[in-house]
Amino acid sequence: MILSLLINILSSTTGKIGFFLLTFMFLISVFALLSNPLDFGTRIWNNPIVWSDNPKNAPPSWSVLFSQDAGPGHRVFDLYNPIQSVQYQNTFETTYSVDFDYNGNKPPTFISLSVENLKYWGTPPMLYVTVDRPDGKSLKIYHHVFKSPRVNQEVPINRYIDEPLRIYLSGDSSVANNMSDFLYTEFDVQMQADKIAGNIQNIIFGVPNIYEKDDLNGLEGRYKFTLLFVSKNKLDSVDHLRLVMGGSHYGLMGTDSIGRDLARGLIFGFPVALTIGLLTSILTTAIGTMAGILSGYSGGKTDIVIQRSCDILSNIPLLPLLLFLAFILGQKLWVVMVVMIAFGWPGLTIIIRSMVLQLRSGNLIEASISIGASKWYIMTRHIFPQIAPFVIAQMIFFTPAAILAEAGLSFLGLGDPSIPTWGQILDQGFRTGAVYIGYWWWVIPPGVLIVITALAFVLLALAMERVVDPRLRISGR
Amino acid sequence: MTLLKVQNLSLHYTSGSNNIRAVDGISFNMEQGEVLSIVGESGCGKTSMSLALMRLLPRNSTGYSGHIFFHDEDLMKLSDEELRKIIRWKKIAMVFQGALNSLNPVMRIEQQLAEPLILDASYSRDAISQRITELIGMVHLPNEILRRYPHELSGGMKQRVLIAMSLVLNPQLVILDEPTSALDVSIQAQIMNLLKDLKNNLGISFIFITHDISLASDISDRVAVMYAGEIVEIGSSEQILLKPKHPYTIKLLQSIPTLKSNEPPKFIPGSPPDLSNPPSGCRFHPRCDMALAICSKENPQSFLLNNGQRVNCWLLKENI
Amino acid sequence: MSSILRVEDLKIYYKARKGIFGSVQIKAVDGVSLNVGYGETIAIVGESGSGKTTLGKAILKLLDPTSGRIIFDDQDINLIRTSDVKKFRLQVQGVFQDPYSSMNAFMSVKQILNEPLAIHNIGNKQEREQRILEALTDVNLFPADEIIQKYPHMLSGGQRQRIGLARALILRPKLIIADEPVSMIDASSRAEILYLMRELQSKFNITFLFITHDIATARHFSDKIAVMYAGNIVEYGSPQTIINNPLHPYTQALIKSVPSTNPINRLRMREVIPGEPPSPSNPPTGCKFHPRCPSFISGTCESIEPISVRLDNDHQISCHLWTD
Repeated sequence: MILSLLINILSSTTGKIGFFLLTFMFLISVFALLSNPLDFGTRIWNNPIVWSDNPKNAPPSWSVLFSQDAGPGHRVFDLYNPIQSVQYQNTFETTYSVDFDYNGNKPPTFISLSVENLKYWGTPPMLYVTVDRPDGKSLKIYHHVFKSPRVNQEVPINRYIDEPLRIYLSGDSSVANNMSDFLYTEFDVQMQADKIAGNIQNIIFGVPNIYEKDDLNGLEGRYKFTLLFVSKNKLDSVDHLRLVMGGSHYGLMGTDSIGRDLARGLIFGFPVALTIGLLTSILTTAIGTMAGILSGYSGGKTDIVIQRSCDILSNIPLLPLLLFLAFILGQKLWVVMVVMIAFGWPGLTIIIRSMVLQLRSGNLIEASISIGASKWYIMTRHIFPQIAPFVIAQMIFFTPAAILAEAGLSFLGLGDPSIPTWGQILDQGFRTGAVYIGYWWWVIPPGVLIVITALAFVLLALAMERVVDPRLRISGR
Repeated sequence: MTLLKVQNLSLHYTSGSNNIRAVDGISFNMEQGEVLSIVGESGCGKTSMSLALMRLLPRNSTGYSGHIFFHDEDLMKLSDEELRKIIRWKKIAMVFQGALNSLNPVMRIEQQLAEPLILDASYSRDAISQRITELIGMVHLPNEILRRYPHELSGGMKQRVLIAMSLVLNPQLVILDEPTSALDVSIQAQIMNLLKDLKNNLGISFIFITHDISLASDISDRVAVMYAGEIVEIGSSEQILLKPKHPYTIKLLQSIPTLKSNEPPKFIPGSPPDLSNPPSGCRFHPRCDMALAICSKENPQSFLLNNGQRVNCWLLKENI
Repeated sequence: MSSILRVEDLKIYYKARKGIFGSVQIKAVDGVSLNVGYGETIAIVGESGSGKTTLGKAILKLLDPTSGRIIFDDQDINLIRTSDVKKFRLQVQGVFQDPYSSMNAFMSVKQILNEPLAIHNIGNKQEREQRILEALTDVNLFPADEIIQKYPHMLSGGQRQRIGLARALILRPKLIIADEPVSMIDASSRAEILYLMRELQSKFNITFLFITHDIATARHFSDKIAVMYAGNIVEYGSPQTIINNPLHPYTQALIKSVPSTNPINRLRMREVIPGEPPSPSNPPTGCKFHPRCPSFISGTCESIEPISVRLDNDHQISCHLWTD
């Protein structure tokens, strides 16, 4: 029967589109689950450390095709191996360096330095950052002394293992001072302190304008960043240094205000949406169908009890209850799903019940009883097959409703923030004002995905409609 | 005066990939003031024929052809609009099969009776009120029924209301499709008496469609027997009921259980044919115990007897 | 003569809702007593609202009576333990009016006929197949091995009803309740089914309870006729007695309402029973037929319910004309 259903669905255009869309979404979901851990939400998505090196609120990389003055791409330089290690008397100098080209258009949106896994014995080491510019000038940008050990801490002192030390060079006051000195010494320019603070990248990567000494032009050419690690003990080391030149655009879908790669979040949203939708739908349909069959078949007290339950549940306002439960139980996904299921099944029950009553008006059930069939046998073997196609269609039709409901609830702030769903992403976008600032890549894609998913299921359900019209089916013809 | 002359009327349906020849070349005449019964069993096409007469064609119909001369005017030549305005309900009215369920449950009886009058703007309120009171009396129902709703009426009362509805615009011909099949025998007798009454007092002509040939005898002047989309025999009631010539008619009459005689009823083995693929030659031949060799090859011609009885059967060939 | 089925003063009342808070009592069966002998065919004849279908369902144990007893094979069927109900069902089967809706349209003939055997765990797979083919042969459906693969919508009405009959027979019951078994079949095929039922009755020694509105059919295919009106049996006797010598005014009127194929009928009015069948929620007092009875005796018929009187040779009647 499933096979003939499938063939029927695929015979119409709506069915084909719906089926194609769903297969596509299913494949993406599989990919998402294979390439991400299951606790993606808490461990990665909501963990700012993971995203700290990304530019914030950056549009997708392909959007540069449509804009006139695109900024630089995002560059991350991971330095593991030093170029050289030299010993001067009783100090050891380990040098890391990286060089790259700059087209002079727009400087990086930020510059950050991360240090991971520092080990030292005795005196805390130091770190120097210098830049060699294409105009031959050299800039001392930054000097860092690592923190002293705590009282009674054992050697070797091991720091920044789980969470690297992150320094925003482009926002650091000592760096700003160095910039001020550099401008005065090299260009005889004096700039206001707050202007320097906001233009550190422009100064590093540019020259003051000849005419307007306060403005800066970009300096094209090759830049070399050198990181010098100075220590008193030969064994002192850092595992990993990372220099990040923040880009003005990033990734497939851009980033949000914490720098999260929206593409990863949206892709992970596929299996989440499908799971929420299908699970809620299947459970709601299962409960509703069983209640409907039982109600229609048994009649009497069972029928009355089930019907009144449906009446009561249909009249309880869903939203206030959810607000209340969110307040007490916390914002958890399972709470949302349980509430959706608990309030979703009555609708189906009423319809199934009337279909069962219609079946009773024929002689089928009486004939089955007189043969000796038991109540459960009749319900499963005779009643259910007649209503199965309708139930399946309802299930498919209800799935997007569940997905939309979850998205809506997230949007109202009632969702579960630990799991990235499209609704969550949308909600955060609105909360941070992304809509008003114009961060279209944050709010449009999740909305579009929600709509397409709902559409896919609805198209499928529509394609099934002809097969499944209960008026045609129940009469047995 | 000949009221109705039907010549070679056909109506086919498509169902899936099949072409169902529900009405296949029917011809008959009807005089004014007489009652003609169309008798046939399930699937013989009698309901389709009534729909064809009123041009109430279903969506999957094809092959609608033939002539329907009503007072010498061929109805097939009229446009849909003309048919609706002039003929339907004004000259020819119909009481449908299963009509007991076709009363609007949320309208009072008086509203439903008055509907055709209201739609025809030439009737004043008083005239309408007078007419429906007249009608309800004609079908022997008390006036207070007018204010009731359909669910408050019994089956017999509803049937009377439907008959009244068909008479609203004084039609000359009323087609009744199984008007009593959902009713108990005792109520059936009452309705039949009412129809006899109306026939005698108003001079209306009826086409009475039924599967029950003994019921037909209760009212008809002439009887036409239908089988598999064709009229196999037609004649006066005396001829058909007492001296049938077609094997199907003979067998049909023999399968009626009688109260008075001890003779047990007979039956016709097999079942009516599939109208999308009827048997070759005479459509009844597979079930006929008097079939000749020619019966499976050629569809029988119409043989007209001296007394006006018409039989479509090869057995008649020798007798002519 | 011992009887296979004894119905003693059976009453079946329903409660129906009236308005928002009110309820009204529907007296579907109002004191019916019946005695059916082994191997007999009893016809219950009545119009709609007579209670005949309700009576049939009660005997099939599809609903519970309000009072009174139904004794099948010396056992009160309402006192059967739940665990023994299945055994009861092996012995009492039903054939229903609509051969289409009484079968699951998704099941093949084979599955339909196999179902009763499977439910009662009769035989192994081979034995069941054998029995199914035999059952089809018993009801004259050929070729059996082709028919078993078909689905109900592929068969004609008469063929479907024969499947219904086969399904009732396959468990070899002792009693079959047939509720209007031929009223949805073409007139020219009805006798075929009824002859078949008679054949099977003598072959397998089955008792039949044949419920119908058609007294003419009952006349030819039953050993006894019970005429029901508004929940009571008003007259009971052999077909010859009932048809040739009907004593109850209702029976007389019923017989006169049956049309014959005489063309002279159109020239005269038929004798009819005036009025309508009574409302089951508000039946007339006393004898329920009294408002429509041409032989109404004022003072008696509208206040006292008639009791059943036994005349000679199994002719019983419930009418004040005869209770003295």
